[in-house]
Amino acid sequence: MGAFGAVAVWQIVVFVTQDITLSDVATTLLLGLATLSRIVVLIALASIVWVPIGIWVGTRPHFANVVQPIAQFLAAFPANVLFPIAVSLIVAFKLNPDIWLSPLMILGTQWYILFNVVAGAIAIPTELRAAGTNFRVRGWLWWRRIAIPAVLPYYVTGAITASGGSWNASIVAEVASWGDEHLQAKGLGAYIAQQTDAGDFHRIVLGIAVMSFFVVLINRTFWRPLYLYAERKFRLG
Amino acid sequence: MDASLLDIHALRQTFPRADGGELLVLDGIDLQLAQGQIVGLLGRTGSGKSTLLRSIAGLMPPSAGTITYLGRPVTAPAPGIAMVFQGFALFPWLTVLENVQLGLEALGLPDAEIRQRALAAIDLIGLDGYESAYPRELSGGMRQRVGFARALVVHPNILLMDEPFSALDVLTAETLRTDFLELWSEGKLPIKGVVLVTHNIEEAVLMCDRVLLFSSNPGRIIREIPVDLKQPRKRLDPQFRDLVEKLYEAMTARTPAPPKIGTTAGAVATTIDSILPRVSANLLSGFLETLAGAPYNGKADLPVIAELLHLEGDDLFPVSDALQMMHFVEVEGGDIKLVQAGKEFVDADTDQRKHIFQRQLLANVPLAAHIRRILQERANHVAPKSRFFDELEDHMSAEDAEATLRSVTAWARYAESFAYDDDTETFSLENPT
Repeated sequence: MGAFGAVAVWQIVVFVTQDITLSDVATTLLLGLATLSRIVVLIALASIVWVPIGIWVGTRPHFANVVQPIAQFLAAFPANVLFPIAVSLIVAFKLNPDIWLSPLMILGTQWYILFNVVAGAIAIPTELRAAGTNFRVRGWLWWRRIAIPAVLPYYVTGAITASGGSWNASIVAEVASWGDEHLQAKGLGAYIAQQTDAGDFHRIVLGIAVMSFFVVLINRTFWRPLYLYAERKFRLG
Repeated sequence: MDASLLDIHALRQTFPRADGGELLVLDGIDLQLAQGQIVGLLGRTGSGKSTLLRSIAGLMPPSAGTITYLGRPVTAPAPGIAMVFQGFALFPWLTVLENVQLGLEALGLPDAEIRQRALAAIDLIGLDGYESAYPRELSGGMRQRVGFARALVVHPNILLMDEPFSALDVLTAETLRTDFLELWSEGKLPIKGVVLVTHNIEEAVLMCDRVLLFSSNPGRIIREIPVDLKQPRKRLDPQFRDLVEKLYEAMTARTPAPPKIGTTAGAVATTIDSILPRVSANLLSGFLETLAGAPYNGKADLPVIAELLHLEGDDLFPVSDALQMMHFVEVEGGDIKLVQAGKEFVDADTDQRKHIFQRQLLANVPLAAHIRRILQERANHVAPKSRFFDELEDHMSAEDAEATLRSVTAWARYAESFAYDDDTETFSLENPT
């Protein structure tokens, strides 16, 4: 497997370097950083919104039974169908596409955070919740000591899926058109989309390789350690 | 004047049923808890005693009736009522100290006081040195000590205990009981009264000043038995034994079946909608053999045979109920006695035993006869489980319906009366010829 991977990487390097300069590589890395910063901000925003809502829903079983299938449907819904609406709004209000195209990246993926957190909140044992209620743990203390720790392993699973999906979504979300209107944000997704339009195979491969590099790097250095920590410390039972 | 800490009057609790109806869990409960008392709630599974405890804890507002604590109605968790849980209910991500501090943090006390009180409680309950440990690092006994420390640290007036020792091994449970009683008797605990839920008769006699006996489905208080023995109590003391015997007797006494629509009140006639005890055919036949053998020769004292077979109340009663239901034995006055069918069964060989079991099953457990009749009537001799499940669910909770079907299936399999396929969830008249 390792040997196969090394050969594949070597093939990519050979293929890409035929036509590509160091400055191309530097450009894609910078564009990758731009996309990365969008994803960081978006995942953070989505978490702030959906973690509390997910916990609220998950601790009310009747609600959860209704919300859970809806969230799963939304995750499967092709978000790019909605892009034209976003494009016309951005054009109409003369908004900065570098900022306002970004939310499209997370449109379809944020739901993974929601339904994982809902599942986590449902999984809190009745006795533990009763203990919290009995000792009248309420308000911020309840969120801090009980709810958030209890859903953390589930949240991390959802956030990993959401952030990975958002990288892919950036390819369609950083470039969006509706009729004659073409909007573009600076980012690795837009770069790959452009090179695809231009049919420049070398740069498509370069763009995808750099994107994969970012995804793997973030998973290894951030999500995986966080997941292992959450799993070790916060897993119930 | 000995003011009541807790006053429960005409309490009734119902659960919503799947079909929109209501399931009556507790009915007509009257209970007073005086200062300095430990009151035991003793009953079988399904007697609603845990529901009563949760109601007192304010986790479940009454469907009807009142719960009054220090003159105020309880509809939400009241300060001064703390609970110890059967499964410990510790937060795995908090250390021992943090778990104990949680209730104090909820009270909004200053940090220094929280820490000082938590450490004092940890010290009192014998957890010194474990402050920074996580619950998963502790044994069951130590975990339940954390459960006690967490409840005591808030200085509650009433301590509620929901079978706190039943998840522990025998020795650990006994140590914890003794430690608790010692602290209680010496007045070292900051509590004024205790309500203990248990299914263990000896535990009730060991710890309680008063034992309330519950009937099942719905839960009602059928007897109140004072325990006037001095602490510390000795299990081998004849007076202790007498009380244990008396409680066994009361718990196995035939009480009139609660009036139900479509059933005749009176003796414990089993009907199609009776909840069946969960017990395997193997255990039944093993019990019959033990009872028939020396030194019992067909008649035994329930507490004695329970101890020999290491069956606590909750494990013993399903056995004695099932055997009585199928008329293999008679239970009276705390004694269990083999009758004709039981003797036949013990003397028979494996094949004959199955026949006898089938005869007793079909004659005395209407649900088994009912399922078999339906299967015989149908052309393909197959019926889905849901057909019977829905029927049962009109009269009992989904959980009980599930358990009842499992029991009847297990017995019918042994008796080869009918078969059940769990993959397709269907009953059938299996004809392996």
